[in-house]
Amino acid sequence: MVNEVVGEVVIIPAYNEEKNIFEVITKTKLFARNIMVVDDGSLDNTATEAARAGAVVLRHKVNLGKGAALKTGCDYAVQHGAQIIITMDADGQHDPKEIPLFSSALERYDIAFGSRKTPRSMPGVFKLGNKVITRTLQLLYGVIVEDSQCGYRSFRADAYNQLRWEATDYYVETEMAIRAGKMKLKHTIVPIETIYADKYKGTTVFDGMAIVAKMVGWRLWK
Amino acid sequence: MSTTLWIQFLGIVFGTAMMYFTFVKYKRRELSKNEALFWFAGWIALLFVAIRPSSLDFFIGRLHFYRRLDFFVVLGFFVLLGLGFFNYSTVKKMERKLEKYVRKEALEEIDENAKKN
Repeated sequence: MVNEVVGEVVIIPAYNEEKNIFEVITKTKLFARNIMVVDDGSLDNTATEAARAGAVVLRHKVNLGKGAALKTGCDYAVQHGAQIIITMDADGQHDPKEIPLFSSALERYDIAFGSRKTPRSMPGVFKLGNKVITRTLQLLYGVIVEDSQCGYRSFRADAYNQLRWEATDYYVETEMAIRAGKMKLKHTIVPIETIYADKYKGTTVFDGMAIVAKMVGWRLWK
Repeated sequence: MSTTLWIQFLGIVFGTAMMYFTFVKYKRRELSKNEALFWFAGWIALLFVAIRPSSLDFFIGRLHFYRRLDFFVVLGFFVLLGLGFFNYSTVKKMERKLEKYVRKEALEEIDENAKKN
């Protein structure tokens, strides 16, 4: 896909995912032609593995956070003509076979939010944290998103210009939802399956508390 | 030794240690001459107050504090809050600069690689 106009692109921000990234890309290739990995300063061979699997790889020399990695990927994709952007996590928790659902959702909507069916395997602290964040989002901003922390999403390139976030960390998902609400973008929810492989990656309890604090701060000052 | 003397003693030890660290940082060129002088002035003021607590009496009387220690604690809080804010804004500024630089470099690098290929 290098430097060519593309229609749909899957963007995968990755940090220290050498064990999963090859398989994630291989499976994703069955459903998407253009796959872009943003290696966010990984200390392992994530970038090499991603390139070996056939993805376009952008590299942050320093770890900046998920929000910054996504923004780099989206900026690049939009600059090079992408019309549809799909974001996925690199740890294999999102099933690529659901990509067509996210693409088709954009025929009628500007942005589609993935919503995980809460499986038994989902750690209890994640369930509670996600519920608190999602409720706070509804209460403060009136944005109804069932799963505010799900990274499986799609949006149109023109919507990205309105969504373009400031967050460099895990607040990106929440900020995206807030901006979608503020800009009155037409949004929908896509129910998805989720596989939890690693309890220790992703949003921690402290990240969750920081997200809630930021939401309150934004409500008061922005 | 009375409580007051202990506090004075700890203040002197702390102030002296901080002066040493400031000096080392200056020697390693991690602090400029002016920065080192600024911090030295702060530590000397702390040492002075620790050795002669009565030097605060002028302010304590005017501000109606009961004890010197109360005044010192309140003042310490203000200084800490000020420094906390200053550190926060500096770190944020650095974060933004770093983010801008790293993201720009990533985008430029991939375009250069694409041209080469």
